[in-house]
Amino acid sequence: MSGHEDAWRTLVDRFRLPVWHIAYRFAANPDDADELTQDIFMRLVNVLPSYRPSGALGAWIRQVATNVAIDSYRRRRRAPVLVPDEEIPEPPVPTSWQPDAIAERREEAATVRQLLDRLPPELSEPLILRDLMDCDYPEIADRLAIPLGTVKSRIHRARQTLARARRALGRGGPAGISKGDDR
Amino acid sequence: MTDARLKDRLEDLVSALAAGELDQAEAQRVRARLAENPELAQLYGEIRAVRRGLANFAAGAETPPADLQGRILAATLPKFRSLYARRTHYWPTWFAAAAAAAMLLFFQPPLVRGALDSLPRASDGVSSLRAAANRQADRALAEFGVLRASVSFALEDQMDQLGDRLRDLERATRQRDELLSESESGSDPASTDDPQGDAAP
Repeated sequence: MSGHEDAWRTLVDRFRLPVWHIAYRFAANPDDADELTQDIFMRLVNVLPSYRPSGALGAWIRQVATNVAIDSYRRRRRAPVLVPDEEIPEPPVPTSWQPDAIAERREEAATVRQLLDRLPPELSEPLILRDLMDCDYPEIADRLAIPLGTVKSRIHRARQTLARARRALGRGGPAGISKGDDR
Repeated sequence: MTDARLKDRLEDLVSALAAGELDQAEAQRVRARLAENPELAQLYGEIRAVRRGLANFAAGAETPPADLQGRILAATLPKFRSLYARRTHYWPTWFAAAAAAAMLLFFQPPLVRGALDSLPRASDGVSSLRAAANRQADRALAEFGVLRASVSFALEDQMDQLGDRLRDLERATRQRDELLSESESGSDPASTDDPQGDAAP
């Protein structure tokens, strides 16, 4: 028993960071990412017997983590907190101790994160998998159970929609993303 | 293709170009389109900016809390114990039984038959089976020890023989060298008294 627990502690120690980074991409904020990470490891406890050593353990854990993260993301997006466009918090203001380049990168990342959360899930999910997690198109199609062509068109549409929303934000206009962006 | 569909197709190509997903020839064709279409060029610039933002987001300036591991373990260990404690408790018994049966079948089928025949009569049939398995295991270990020792002795013997042959070979080589050297010195014209140089070898 102690040997099994030690193995579990080792597994948690070894994979907590990659799992947290997957959670972070799908969570609303770092606190949510912490909770989601715990949920992912809880799922891993339950599905451990289904692991077959023929594949790499890291890849298997990544797959389980992504599936849990997508489920969580869908739940979160099904019950959106409706924030009027004008109430979207401004991106973080660079502080004096931060070099400009770092501040700018953080600002860009924060803006994109806010806009990403306003995309319809059917667009944001494939985009997160592609542009934040480097999954290839067939893998995304497999994971989301949608045709390959649909995956590609949704990812393109998501990028274009984000680009236009970002432009609107830059002009001081509403950054809301409407269904009108859907084709 | 209608104008609207053509526009959609071009915008998809611009997205693919910004993500570096086009081959060289196609990328060149799309770049040529960008050069003549300012609206598309603007979209291209904006998608690239979005991808920069996504990359920065993915790179993650944020870091997980220092006590993340403790939190995960606190959340998962009770569940882990409840799921796997029973299984691990019974595992050694089943493993021992399976190992004993396998060893019996492998090493002494008649003994297995005998043990099975005597099982109904014996009040502690399982114990006798276990004892028989233990005896067989001891014998197997002993046999393995003997085998290992005999292999070891055989190897040492071979090594000794090889050593002897090597020493013989060295001795023979030395003798040959000495003979050659004597023969060379005996046939050296500079060292002979025969002025004709035709002394018998």
